[in-house]
Order: sequence, then structure tokens, then C-alpha cells
Amino acid sequence: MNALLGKVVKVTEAGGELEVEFEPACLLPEHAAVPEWLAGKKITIRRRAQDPREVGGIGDSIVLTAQESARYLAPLTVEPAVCFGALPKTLSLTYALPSDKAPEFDAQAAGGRLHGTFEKDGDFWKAQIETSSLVGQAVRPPMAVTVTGDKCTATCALFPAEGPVYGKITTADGPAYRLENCWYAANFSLTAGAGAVASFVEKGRGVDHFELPNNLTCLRQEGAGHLDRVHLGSAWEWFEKLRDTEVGSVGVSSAGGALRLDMQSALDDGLQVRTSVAHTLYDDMPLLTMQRDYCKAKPAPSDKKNETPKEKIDEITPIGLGFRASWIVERDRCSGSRFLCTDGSRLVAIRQAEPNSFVACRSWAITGGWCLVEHPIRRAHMLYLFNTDDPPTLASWAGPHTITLEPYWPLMPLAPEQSVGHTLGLAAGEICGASTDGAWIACRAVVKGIVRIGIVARVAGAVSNHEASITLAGETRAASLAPLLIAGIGTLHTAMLDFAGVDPAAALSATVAGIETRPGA
Amino acid sequence: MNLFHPRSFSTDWEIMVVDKLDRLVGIDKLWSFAGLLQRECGLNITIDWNTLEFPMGISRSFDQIWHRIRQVTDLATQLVREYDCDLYPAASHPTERIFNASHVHIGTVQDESAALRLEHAAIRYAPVFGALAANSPATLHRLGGFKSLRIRHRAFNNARPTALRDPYLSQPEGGTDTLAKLYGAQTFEMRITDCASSRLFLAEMATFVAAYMHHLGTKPLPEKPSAGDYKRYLTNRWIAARDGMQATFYWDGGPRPVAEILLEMLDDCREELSQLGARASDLVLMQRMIEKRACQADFVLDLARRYPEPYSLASAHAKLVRHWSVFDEFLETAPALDPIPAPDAEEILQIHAAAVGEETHFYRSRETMSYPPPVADEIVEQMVERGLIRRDVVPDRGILLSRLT
Repeated sequence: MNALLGKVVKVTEAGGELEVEFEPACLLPEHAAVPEWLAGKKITIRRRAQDPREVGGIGDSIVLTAQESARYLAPLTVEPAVCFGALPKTLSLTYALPSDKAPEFDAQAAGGRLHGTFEKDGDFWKAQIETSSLVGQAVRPPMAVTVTGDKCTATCALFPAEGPVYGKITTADGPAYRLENCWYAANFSLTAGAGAVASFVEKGRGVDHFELPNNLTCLRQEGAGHLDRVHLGSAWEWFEKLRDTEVGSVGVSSAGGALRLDMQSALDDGLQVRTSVAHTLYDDMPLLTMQRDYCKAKPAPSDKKNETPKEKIDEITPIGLGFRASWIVERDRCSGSRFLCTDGSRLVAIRQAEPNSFVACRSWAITGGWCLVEHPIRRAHMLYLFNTDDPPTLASWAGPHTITLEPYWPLMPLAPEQSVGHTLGLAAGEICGASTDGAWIACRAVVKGIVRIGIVARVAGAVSNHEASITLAGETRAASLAPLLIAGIGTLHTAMLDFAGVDPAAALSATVAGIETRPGA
Repeated sequence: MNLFHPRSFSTDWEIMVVDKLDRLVGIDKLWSFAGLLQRECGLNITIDWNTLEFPMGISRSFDQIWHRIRQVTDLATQLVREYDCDLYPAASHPTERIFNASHVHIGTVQDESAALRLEHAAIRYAPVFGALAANSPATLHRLGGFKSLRIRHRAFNNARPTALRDPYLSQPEGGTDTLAKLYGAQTFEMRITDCASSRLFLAEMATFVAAYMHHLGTKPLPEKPSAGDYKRYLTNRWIAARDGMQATFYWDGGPRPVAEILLEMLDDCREELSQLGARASDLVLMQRMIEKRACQADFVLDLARRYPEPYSLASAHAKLVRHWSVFDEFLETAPALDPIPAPDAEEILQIHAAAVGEETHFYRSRETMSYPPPVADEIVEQMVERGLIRRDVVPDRGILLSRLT
């Protein structure tokens, strides 16, 4: 989460504490500009300082934690932010910035408009909207109530009561696009990473696999999330601009048993490279695929005089693909977050014991077409799926709080009118298995009281056992694995079983293609 | 014998510069500050890895170096403040990838071969100096566990344990704890010491280190230490990094708290201190540190209890240490700390095991205490025999260790 750094305007002794008035100056950690609603504002906080010099004086910096900063970075909130089927009778608004006079707001939805004023409530300003006064008749989802005030925007997104849903929402990190079905609710950022995966909730357990503690100051997608990366022009550094690239246009469709979200962005005008990502969330299995492409446009003819002569080599841009997925790291004496994959002949299991260590396995590639990320203590596992014909190289960094999976492909030349890209599959669940024969993830969903178990597996070609056995609440049932060909990834296998009349939180285990549930998973 | 003649010393203080957005000023702008200060001070102020580096010139007394340190840093403070910046003297930064030092240069060496043998003699005392100067418990969002993460992580290969050199078989070397550095000036360099945050401490520490090395330069020099002595140096080095002034070292006759060793060393070099215009009782901060077993890292750790979030810690720390005497004041009221027992063989084994995850390259185990191959391999063998780890040899990946229990 971002945190605020301000410049001190005044420091006053106040009953054993220091009252510090400051002007927001930048966002940490990247020292970026503050949001427009904070420009020129003055904020007062209290500090208990053993030595007043640790706070400093006028003009000195004052740093807030991510927790302290949250109310200022997303000051306008609507409760609920997301609802299903129908709007609630009232929406509760909160405005968290200091104001000398009562702030005002505007709300609009489905052609209806409303203007209101907040009322003081302790340190905050509160208001309520009767939705019937905003939208006269029952509204059909999807739609959104948008509230604006003092350069801030917040929304209440209304989705259909049933079935897969999609729509734009507002999160604490800014606008995002949500895709949601019975398995997962995924948020894709509209302001970072040209469509980065900001949140990935396993609906059956309410677990966000990319959850970030609210007390960690970090770039949102670098503490937890999935961020695509690219070498563009340089083999040494990742192209930093991609991380901050906003999505320029969005297209979404629900058809053929999947939700598909297309996001297009301009990446670099100088290099004339654009990027797009297509996120596809499958209705009948716990699987998200992400197809990322980069395309280089043909340069416009130059009308400059005495231009330096150019050769074909001058027009190419070296490009290297990769991604960086990150999670909060687990460390225990003999266990913790780890990665599993195969190098072709053996099962590789890597767990880094010490913080601030980087592993890059440069001499081999993830030829099995999968990498399993296991967090055994909190039982949250993710299975990444790759093209077996062009596998990436494994790399990972483990910090004090975060662990990353950052595989990369070798660079290649990108010429004008060419595009390159990769397709990834992502499945998340509560149990998993891995061996040289492949890997799998199992995830549960609760659909109208029935517990549905979904399995996504990558099974080595030589393996003939395509059966799964699933045990839930002591009851064991068999299922056949159905092949599923995904362009850009290859053949996966999936299975799904419904269990009626069981405790939705009952213990789950499985054996898939002869691969048992991993211990502690 | 008198290896150092005439006797002199100096220090090169590496100090970060921060602006009002808590950003470290980059190397290009630091060059411009260094250039201005060179003209003003008549000293070869330079830069080193995103810091200003302050070589204090050839000094011959405690008073002289103390005066220079204050004069130069007062001038540097005034200069950077014209640009709304501050000096941030610290051996590490809670969020950035940077380690800083205050090396001590001891002159004047005429005989390089003798100086190479002095490297061997000096490694016994390097951990003592390291414990005294420990000031880097926070780096890259990692806090605690060690009072000098700089020593523990070898300052990203710029503060490595000394590998002993036979004068007849040697080549020039750099970046080690003890270093005969005649390829530069005619000095012997003690490089293990973390960057100081306190000006007075820096003056005292540099004077003491110089005096002790001058004293060592009057003693017969060993051809080379035994393998046991070398292992003891590396173990003590690790202990110094972890425990600072609370350290207990493996010493003659058994474990000894570093505070006691320091008192003995101050007594041993009283004549050499006197030649530098000081007595042990003049080194008031050091005396207080010995009495309380506290070092500058303890000041940072105390601050971190109130500011556990790394960006907040960096901000508060920078604002405090620009007041040069804030550590000196801390020592007045800091509670006395207890010595921490030296790790025994079992604990050393467990420390090595803790560095092993799954498919950890065996060199991570080497790097735990920087033991040489025979000693490090013996530790791995013990861990395997005890069932603590498993060892696999994998083509293309080498020797991999995995924790079992």
C-alpha cells in the first residue's frame, strides 16, 4: 500500500504528544505525486515522540504508515462498494479528509442525480443516500452508483444476483475491473501494470490469494499481485513504465462459458509499442488465463532533412517477456512458502530460508509447463501454467515480507508491425499436488448450498492415469479428468464434482492422476 | 620493531545525503558537493556509492582528528542545507540497498611484506573493532537479528573476511577486514568498522584503532595463524555482527565478553594512545559503551521499537542523527545490557541449518559464517549425519541442501 510523506508546517505540544500539521508532499515508496484531492491540503496528526527531534520542525518530512495513510488516499468511500441483485435501501458515504465546512457530494446512477452534504461524525464526515430517491424504479444490473466530491470518486457496483458477473468498481487502490464467477472474484487494475491482477479471491473460502496486509508500505502490485514485465530496449533492466501504465480501453464479453476482459494500453510512444492483455475467467472450472501481447507499430515516414541513414537493425527493439507475481511470504523453521516445478527430469522444490535472497535458475527452464506456488501455513496455493514448447526460466526473490515468482523468457528482436506475447494460466486453491508426473490445484465453490470442487491439472504427456478421487467430509468420489486445450498453454485437465448436504468448510483432499495431496497443503 | 613510522592515522567517513522527501541524493549531485567541499576544506572529499566520503587527511593526534571531523562536517552540513538536504550518517538504511563504513587508515607503513603479516595478526582484533562500531541493524526492510547486517552480509562484497596472504605468493587485494594498502597511500586499513553516526565516537574509535594497530606493529608478527585461529576469527566476526557490544568472543583461555577485551586492549596500547595525545579516560564515549555494553546499533533498535515501519524509521533516524550528539545523549540514559553467551558448537550448527531452506545452494551455508571449505564442509556433514538436512548433487545446479527437521 502507498503511504504519505508530508512536509511539516507546524508542531505544537499537546498534552504529552506532538500535534503535527503537514502538507502532503509525495507518496511512498515511489515518491510519486499525491492525488489531486490532497494537493494544497493541510492535515494534522498526533505523534508521541520520546525526543521531539525525531519529528523535526517546519519543512522537515513526516512519514505516515500505510494504515495511517489509507483514509487520506481513499477518502471517499461508499458502503457497500459491491452488491448483487438489487441496490440496498441506503448507501452509506464516508469522507475522511479534514474540512472547515461541510463537504458536498453528487451521486448519479441510471440517469438519476442527487446532491447532498456530509455531516460531521467524529474525525470523519458521513452521509446516507436513499437509493429510491436516486433511481426511481428497480434497476437492472449491471450498473453503478457513482459518488463524486472534492475531486474524489467512489462507486457502488451492482451485479446480477446469479451467474458470472463483470463490471468496473472502485477499490482503495483506485478503479479496477472485476470478473467474478462461482470460483473466483478477480480485480484487474485500471491504473497499474496495463491490467495487473490486483486481487484474486477464492470465493468458497473468502481467501484473497493476493492479499496485502494494510500496514505494509509498498507498491501495491509489488507487495502482492500479478504484474507482467517486459524488457524493452534494454536487456539489463525491466521496463519500469509498464508498472505504472494505465489501461486505455476495456472490452468485456460473457460468452462460450467464460468471461473475457480485453484491456488495451499505450506503452511507449517513442518506441511505438502498445500492449494488450486478455483475461479469461472460465465458468466451469477454477481457471484464469491471461494472454499478454506487445506490438510495435510501423514508424511514420520521417520528413526531417539530413536524417541519419538507417539500416534494418536500427528499427528493431530487443524485447524480453516475463512477469512478477508476489505474495506475503511464510517462514517457519522447516516449512514456508515454496515453489515446485520440474526441470524435465526431477521435481524441484525451492524454499528460501533467509530474507533478501534471490534465486535465478539460469541453466534450465520450467519444461513441465507448470509452477506451483505453495503457502502451506495459510493453505493458499497457486498453479501457474505455461507453454511447454517455450518454457520460461525460474527466478524468485524472498524479502522480509514478500516472496516473488518472476520467470522470464530470453530476449528476441521485435521489428515494426510485429507482435510477441505469452499466455499464462492461473488456478488458485486450498490443496495441491505435484510430482514429476504433473501438478494440480483443487478449489471449492458453494453454489446454492452445494459444495462444488473444481480441479485444474497439468499432467505429463506420458501419464495415462486421467482419474481423480476427491474426498470431502469423509465421502470419497471419483471423477474423470477432461482434457482442455488452451491456445498458448497446451493441454490441461479438469474435473468438477458437486457434493450436496455437506458442511461447506469440511476437510478436503484429493488424488489426481496418481498425484496425492501434498502434506501440509 | 616498529612497523608504523612516522605514526599517523585517518578515517574515511561515508555519509549519505537526504532531501526533504527522504530521498537519497544521487551520485552525480554528490560529486558537485564533494568538489565544493574539496575547495573549501583542502581535503580530498570524494564520493563512494551514493555517499559523500570524507577522508580526514593525515592526522597525528586525537585532538587533531576530532577538530577536523567537526570542521568538515559543520561545513558539509551548511553546504547541503543550502539545498534543503541533510547529512545522514548511518551504516545502513532501513529501506535502501546500501551499507556504509568508517574505515580507519593507519600510517605510515614502509614494508609491505611486514604489513601483509600484520593482516594475519590483526584479524584477531578485527571483530573487537567490528563489535564496537556496529551500527547497521536495519536494511532493505529487514530489522534486527544482527547489530551489524553490514558485517553479516559483507557489505555486498565490500567488507569481506581477510583471506590470508603469504608475501611471497601474494597479489594486491581489496575490500577485506584488514588490508595492507600500500598500492594507495602507505597505510594499513582496518575496514570492518561500520559507519559512525556520532562524530565524537568516530574520533575516539579511529584514535583507538590506530593506537592499537601501532601497538601491534611493535610486536613480533606471526608468519601465519593456525587454522584454529582463523576459524576463531570468523566465528568472532559473526558474533560481533550479531551481538555488538554484548558479544562474548572465543578468546585465550575461553569465552570473554568483548567489553573486557576492550578494556584490556585500551590498557595494552596506552603508550601508543599517549603518542596520539590521548588517554583511555579521554575516550569518554567508548568508556560508557563498555560500561553499558551498548553500541550505536542499540540506539537504532531502541528507535525502531517506536518506529517499526521501515520508512518511518528511516525518516525519524535521519532527523535524529543529523544532531551529531544524539547517540552520546542516548548513552547517558540507556540501560546497561547483559553480555550474550558465545554460541557453542550446537548453536553454530543450528545457525548454519537455519540458512538452509529447500534446494538451497550449498554456498548459502558457506556464507553463514564465511568458514573456509574444510570447516564449512564439516558443518554440512554434521547436519547431514544429524538428519537436519539432505544433500543432493544435481547436474546444472550443483550441490543443493534441503532442511529436513
